Amino acid sequence: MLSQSTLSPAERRFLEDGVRQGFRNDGRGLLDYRPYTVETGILPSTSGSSRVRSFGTDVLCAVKVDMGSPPADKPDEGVVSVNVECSASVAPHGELEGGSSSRATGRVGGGRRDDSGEGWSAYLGALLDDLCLPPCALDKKALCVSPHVYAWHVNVDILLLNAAGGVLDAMSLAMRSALRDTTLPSVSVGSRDEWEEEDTADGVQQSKPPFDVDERPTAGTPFPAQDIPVCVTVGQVCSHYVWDMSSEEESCAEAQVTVAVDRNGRCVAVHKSGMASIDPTGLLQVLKDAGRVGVELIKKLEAAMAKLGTGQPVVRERLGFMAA
Amino acid sequence: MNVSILTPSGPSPLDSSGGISSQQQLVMPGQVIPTHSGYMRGHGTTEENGQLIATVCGLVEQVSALIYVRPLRSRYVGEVGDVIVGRVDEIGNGRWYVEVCSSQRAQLHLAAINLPGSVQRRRTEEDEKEMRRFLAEGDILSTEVQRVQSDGLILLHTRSAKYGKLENGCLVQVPPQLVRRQASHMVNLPCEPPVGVVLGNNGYIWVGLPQRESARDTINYALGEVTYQAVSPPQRQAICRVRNCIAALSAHYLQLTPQSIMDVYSASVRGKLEVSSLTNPEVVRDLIREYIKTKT
Repeated sequence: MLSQSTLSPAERRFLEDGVRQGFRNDGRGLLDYRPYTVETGILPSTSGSSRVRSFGTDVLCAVKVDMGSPPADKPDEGVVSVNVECSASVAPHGELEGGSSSRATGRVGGGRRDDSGEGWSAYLGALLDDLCLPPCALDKKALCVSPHVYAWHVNVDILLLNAAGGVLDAMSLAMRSALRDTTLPSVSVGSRDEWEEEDTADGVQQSKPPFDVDERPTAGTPFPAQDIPVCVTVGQVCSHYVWDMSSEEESCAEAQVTVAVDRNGRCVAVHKSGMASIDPTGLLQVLKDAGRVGVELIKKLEAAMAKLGTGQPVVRERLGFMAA
Repeated sequence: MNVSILTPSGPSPLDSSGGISSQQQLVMPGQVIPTHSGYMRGHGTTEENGQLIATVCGLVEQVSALIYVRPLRSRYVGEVGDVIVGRVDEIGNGRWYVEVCSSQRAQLHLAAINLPGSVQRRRTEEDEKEMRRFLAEGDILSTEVQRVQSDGLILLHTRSAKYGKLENGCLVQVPPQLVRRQASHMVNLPCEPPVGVVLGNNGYIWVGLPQRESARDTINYALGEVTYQAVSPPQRQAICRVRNCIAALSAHYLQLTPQSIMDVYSASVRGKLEVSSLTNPEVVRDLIREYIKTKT
C-alpha cells in the first residue's frame, strides 16, 4: 500500500538539510535509534522463533533443528543454513518494473543489476550468513552429536514481512533472539555395537544407530548463541554518518556500512554497500560507535528476552500478531 | 546514542473506548455472514454453497436487502473535488501519471494545468516537450480530482492558485480512510512557528513550511513558482513534531483533521516530549491516551 518510490528533489533536499543540521525528519539526532520491539517464541511449531519490529520493518524468524549427517569434509561439525524470504510487497521497487536498478540503490545490496526479488533475498541470506555466523561467532563443533554420524542441521528461516529501512539490522536481531530461544533436544545415540549389528543385518546399505530423544522440555541444552553478533548499519548522507535509517534516508544514502558486533563490542565483520566511496578516516569512528551501539543493543535484547522468559520451557501467554 | 528494545504490549488505548459499536459485526475473509431470505449480495462478499461469505476484512453493513462488507482498509477511491497529494510517476502522452495510492495511477493532462504567467492558449507540442520543467518524475504535487471515469481512473487538475508542486517539507503516508472530506485541506497550523499541512484525501499528507499568502497567489499560481527555502532549526523542529503527531494518530487509526493534529501537538508540547521521543510506540500510546481523555 505504501509505495517506496523515488524521493522528489524537494524531499531529498529537506532531508539532507536536516541531516546537516543534525535533526532528522522524525526528530532524531544522527546517532539515535528507534526502539525495536522483540517477541520470542511466537511460533509453537518451531524450535525457536522471534519477531522483531522497528516502525515499518517487520521480521519473523523461525529456527528448526533437525538430526542429520555432518558434512563429509567436516565430520565433527553441525550445519547452520540461513534462508531469507521476502513477502511479495517488499521486493525492491525497481525490480518489479523490469530491473531499473536506480531505484534500489538505497537498499543494502541495491544497485546490482541482476537483482530480482529472489536474488535480493538470496543476497540478504548470504550476507547475514557471512556477517553473523562466522566461525568465531558460532562454535559449530557444539552442534555435533556424534562425529561422522549425527549432527544438528539448524535451519534459520527469516521472513521479511515488511521493509521500511534497517532490514539487515532487524534480521540479525531476529536471528540472534530466535537462536537464543532455541533449545537443542537432549539426544542419546545408541552404542556402536548396536549400530554395527544393524549394519551387517542391512547388508549393503549403511544404516545409522538409533537414537533416543528425551522429550522432557527441561532436558535440552540451549543453542550456543551467546556470541552471535548483531548488525549495525550506518549510512553516509552528505558526508555525515546516519544510524538506524528510515527507508527515505536509505534512498538518500550514498553508501552504507554494516558492522557485525558481538556482545563484547568486538567487530566481527564489516560490509560496505552502495555506489559511493567512504572516507576511511571517518570509518574508524564508525567502527568505534558501532561497537558501543552493538553492545548496548545486545544488552537490551538480553534484558528484553529475560523479561519474556526466552528459552525457558514454560508456556507463556503470547501476544503474537495480536500485539499492538 | 539511545538504544532501546521493547517487548510487545497489550491492546491499543482505543480498544476499550471502542470505535466499533457492538451492533456492527466485524468479519474476516472467509467468514460466513448470517443472512435472511431474499437478501442481495453486495461488495466484499461472495456466495458459496448458499452461504454468504466475506472476501475482505471489515464491517458488515446492511441497506434494506443489500448486504455488503465495508473494508477497514482499502485503497483510495476518487471523488470529484477531493484534494489529493500525489507523486509523479511517469510522463508521456501529454500527461503526467501520478501515484495517488489508488488502484491505478491518476492522470494530470497538460491541458489541466495553468501555464506560467497564466496565459490562456491551446497547448502546443512545445509545451509537451517542456513538461518536465513544470513537474518531473518523483515530484510531489497537491491537486484536485476533476473527473472520475467509470473504471475508477482519476483525472486531476491544478487549475487553481492553491495547487501545484510542493517544496520544503516531507511526506507522511496514512491509510486513506483516516482523511475525511473536510472544509479545508490546506491549512497553516498555529504551531510555534506555524506549519503548513496539506491533507490529501488519498492519505498522503504533506508537512512543510506554511503556504505563503501573497496577493498574487490568489490571482494565479504557476507551477514551479514554489522555490527552495532554507528551513531554520526551530521551524524544522515544528515540522517534524507535526509529522510525528500525524504518524502517532495514524498508528492508532484515528481521524486526521487540523484539529486532531493540533490537539496531539499541544498535548506533546504540554507533556514536554522531545520530538524524537515520538518514535517510541510506548510514548505515543500514552500521548494518544492523553488525547482521547481530553477529547471525551
